Amino acid sequence: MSNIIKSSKTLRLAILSAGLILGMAHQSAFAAGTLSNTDINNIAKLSYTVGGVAQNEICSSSTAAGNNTSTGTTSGSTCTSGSNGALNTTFKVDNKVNLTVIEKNAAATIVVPGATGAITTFTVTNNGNTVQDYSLVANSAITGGTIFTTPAALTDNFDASNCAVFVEVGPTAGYQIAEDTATFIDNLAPDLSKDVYVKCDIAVSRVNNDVSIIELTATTLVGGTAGQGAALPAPVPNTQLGVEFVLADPATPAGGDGTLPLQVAGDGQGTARDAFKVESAVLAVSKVVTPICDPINAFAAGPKNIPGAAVQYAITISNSGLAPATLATITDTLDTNIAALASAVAGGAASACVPSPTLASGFGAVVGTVTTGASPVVTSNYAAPGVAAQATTAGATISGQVVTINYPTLATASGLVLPAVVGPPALATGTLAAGVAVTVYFNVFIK
Amino acid sequence: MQLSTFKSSFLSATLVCFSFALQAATPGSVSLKNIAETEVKVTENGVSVIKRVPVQKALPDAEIIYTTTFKNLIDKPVGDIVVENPVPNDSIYKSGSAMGSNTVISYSVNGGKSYGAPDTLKVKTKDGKERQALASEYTHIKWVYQGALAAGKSSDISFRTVVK
Repeated sequence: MSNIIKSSKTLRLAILSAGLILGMAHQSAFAAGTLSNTDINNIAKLSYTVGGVAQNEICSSSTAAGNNTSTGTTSGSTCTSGSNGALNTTFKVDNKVNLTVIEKNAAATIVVPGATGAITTFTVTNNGNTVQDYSLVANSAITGGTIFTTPAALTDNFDASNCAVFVEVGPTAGYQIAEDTATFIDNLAPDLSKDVYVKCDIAVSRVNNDVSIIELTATTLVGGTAGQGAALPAPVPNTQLGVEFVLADPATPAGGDGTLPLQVAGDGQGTARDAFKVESAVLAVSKVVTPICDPINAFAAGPKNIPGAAVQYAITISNSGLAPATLATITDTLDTNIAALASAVAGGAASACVPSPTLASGFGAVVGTVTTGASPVVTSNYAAPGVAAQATTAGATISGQVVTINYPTLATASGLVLPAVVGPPALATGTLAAGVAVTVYFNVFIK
Repeated sequence: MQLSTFKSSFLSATLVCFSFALQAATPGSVSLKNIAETEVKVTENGVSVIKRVPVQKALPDAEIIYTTTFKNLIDKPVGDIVVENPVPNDSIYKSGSAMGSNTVISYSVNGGKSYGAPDTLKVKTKDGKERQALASEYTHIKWVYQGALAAGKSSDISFRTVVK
């Protein structure tokens, strides 16, 4: 008896270790379940006695009469289909068609008026159990829908034009015009996803906050061979040993943020929405002149614009729009009655008002802010006439009567204005971000 | 239960000894038929009824009913009937679904090496502790028919699986 107990403990340990392995492996390797065309086989085994004498075992058959051919042994037989009359009870797993299409980054793609080839991105996922192809159609002709909720819902009010669909197929992630040329999804395996790009043009007449909603529809096609597969065949009666298509994409109500329209059950299609939102820079340029000194009053209160007087011009560029603008240069052609001084662009003393205490700076620049809205207001840090802290010595040149200000050089050299923005989005040096104003000033003399 | 499991193993081992005296008794005295079906809803005479049909539409998550019929083909009673059936590939046993009149049903979590009642089947978790095995971890099912099956009679056993 003690021997039996000891053995049974050993047996129990064997059960436990086997169970551990099996417990970890009982789920299908695929979220979508067993792959289609998989044979699921089963054979039962029977042992019995006649007159108390053990008989050879019998393995089952799926035929109407069953099987009574024995295996040749009374225990431990292995049942093999086709051997000793045994025959698998078999069926094939059918093709479950299911997919999702989602908008990728939970935000509208910001575009400028006149943009060509603007890109918005979707993701198509094969939730079925079979390799499939998908055809893709983009539609910008959406009327009045709303999309997204943060920071505010966007309402469609125009249609982007020339929309085309491309699939991520190249080695480099993100849309590459040279690489990502496929217009359908070829052979997408179960559980895998593909990014799909919708590329559209934006009319130059569009203005800030205009929105074009884009809808992408993916339709499941027959997969498995290179090239765009055929449409799924019409439903046929299911068979035990055939692999039939079953359209299993579920019905889902429209999603709260407007990116998922109502999905119809069992159409083999998935649809999602994204949007282009127009955001552009709105630039304004102003120029003011301030007398600094004249030969009679010098720096006393109320210098007059008489010959020999020094005046300061201040040119302010403000961006009250929604997008950054990259500033290049601005040129200012001075009146022929004005003498531009070397110091006007070189910094240092304005000089020459007699008597002549010098100005701290002949050229300088400063960044301010601008409130956005219907009537933008510039709040500049510029204090006329310029102070030493605002002086800079690079970024302006003078040729005859023409003063040219180079904004990237100005920014780089002085460190005072238009610093690079780390982002996102990262802005290069010389970029005037939305809501920013920059003022440059220089001193001249009246001839 | 561990003890009785051992006993049945011991019994099988004894039967192996007898087998030397009974080579290749072909054909056997019992036929064994195994079918796979699904349930479908059909309308008959305006009433919705659930019918069993051979498996045709089989997607992941489909519930399959396996029915095994054994029939005594001889004019003597047949005893000690034991049917073992593996849970098929890519399938999970549906808890509590094994049936069979006049049978004692036990389960295996180790590929049919040993069988036991559900509350005796244990598996080891990752942290080395034991827990009761889940029905989804069963690998084999065994039906032990009680008493003898009379001449010419047949009986059914069944279980259900879900396609992974």
